[in-house]
Amino acid sequence: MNQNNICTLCISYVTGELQLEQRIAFEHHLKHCTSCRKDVGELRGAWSILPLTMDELEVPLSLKQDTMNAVFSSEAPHHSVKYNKPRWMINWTKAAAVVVIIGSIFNVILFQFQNNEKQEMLSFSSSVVELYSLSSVGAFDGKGTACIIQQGDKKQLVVYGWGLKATQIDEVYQVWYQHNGVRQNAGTFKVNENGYGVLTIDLDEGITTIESIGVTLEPDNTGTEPRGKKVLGT
Amino acid sequence: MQNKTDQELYRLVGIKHRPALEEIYNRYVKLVYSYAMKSLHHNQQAAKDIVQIVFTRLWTTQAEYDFRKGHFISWLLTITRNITIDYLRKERKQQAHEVALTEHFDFVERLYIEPENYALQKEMMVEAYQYLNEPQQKLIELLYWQGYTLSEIAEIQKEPIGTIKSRLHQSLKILRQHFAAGWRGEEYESK
Repeated sequence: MNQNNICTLCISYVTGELQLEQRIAFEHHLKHCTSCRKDVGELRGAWSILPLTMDELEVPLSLKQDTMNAVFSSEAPHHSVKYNKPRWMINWTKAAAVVVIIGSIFNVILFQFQNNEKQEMLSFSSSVVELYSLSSVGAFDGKGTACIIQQGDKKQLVVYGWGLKATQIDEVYQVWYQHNGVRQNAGTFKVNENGYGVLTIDLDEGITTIESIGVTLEPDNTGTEPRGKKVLGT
Repeated sequence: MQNKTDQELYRLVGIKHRPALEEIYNRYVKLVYSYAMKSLHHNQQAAKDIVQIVFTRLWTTQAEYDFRKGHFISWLLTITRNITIDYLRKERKQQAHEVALTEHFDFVERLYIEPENYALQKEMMVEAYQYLNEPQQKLIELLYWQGYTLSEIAEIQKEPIGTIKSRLHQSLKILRQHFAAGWRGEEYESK
């Protein structure tokens, strides 16, 4: 390649548009061309501060929980690090109950004991419309809680499960609820070795109470009807 | 967690320590979210999705980030940009960007976004931006924020690609000179 031509790749290099071979060639060229190195340094510098023109916006508070749920449920079990939990702590986790303290009609604090880590405090400045306890069914371990919360003019169903068996490969836990005699699919969540999972979904304003809630262990997340065994229920 | 450096947090994330990821979230979600919102023209749902993907990528990445090569926030915003542009180009039914993922920093940048001085740096950047004319500002918007390639822009605007490249080169130079002049009190060389 003509040495003059290769210098003109500078700007495309900075914008990241070069194909792999061109990028390698240009980076090799940079070792020998002080003028391009200087240019790239300056251009890259300007490129790196372009984000400064953005306005800083307030992040919706609910995004943290949603994000952490999405991140931690995306883990395949065999990727997560094994924590060596002392035996007495495992029993403590299984025996732990959800303690709900209603401070005021507008503040509900849910305490959860999550394996051997410190308490996770979730506080909503919202009201809990309904609270349900989910107990394990049959031979399965685990416990859960579900609540309908009102956040401003939005209603949500939040389902927590813990002490659950980790989901393998495509397996998911699927949440179903009964409203006006009709079973609805609330969605799915995965559980890793910590045995803990959360699902949050928006609910129609019209829903004030739910007849029952169930959680099943499904082979994958494509089901519109329960295929697997029921694990938790009201 | 709050006393830990970005580098320490990143290492903890590497061994799947959840509170470390949460602390990184607390520190930087505002910038990631704001970035996505600007690029996506305030599509809040899409911006939230982008945030989730960014933090999932951070949690699952095997990359060994070399902290001598730049600030963590630049790296995080680069990931955010890549994901956002992927999204935008998919929406426009364009081919995925041939971006050689610049998640690897090969050259030390002389200019950094410093989160602790963000407000001041922003003021200077806004000031420097005034020195760009309208075609230059439009070019930055299309290229940087909307993820169009140089050749796509040349086609849209019916201009030779050489013109577009020079315009970008000039724009970045202007921004750098004015910003550096304000930020580090460097001598501004008029060209």
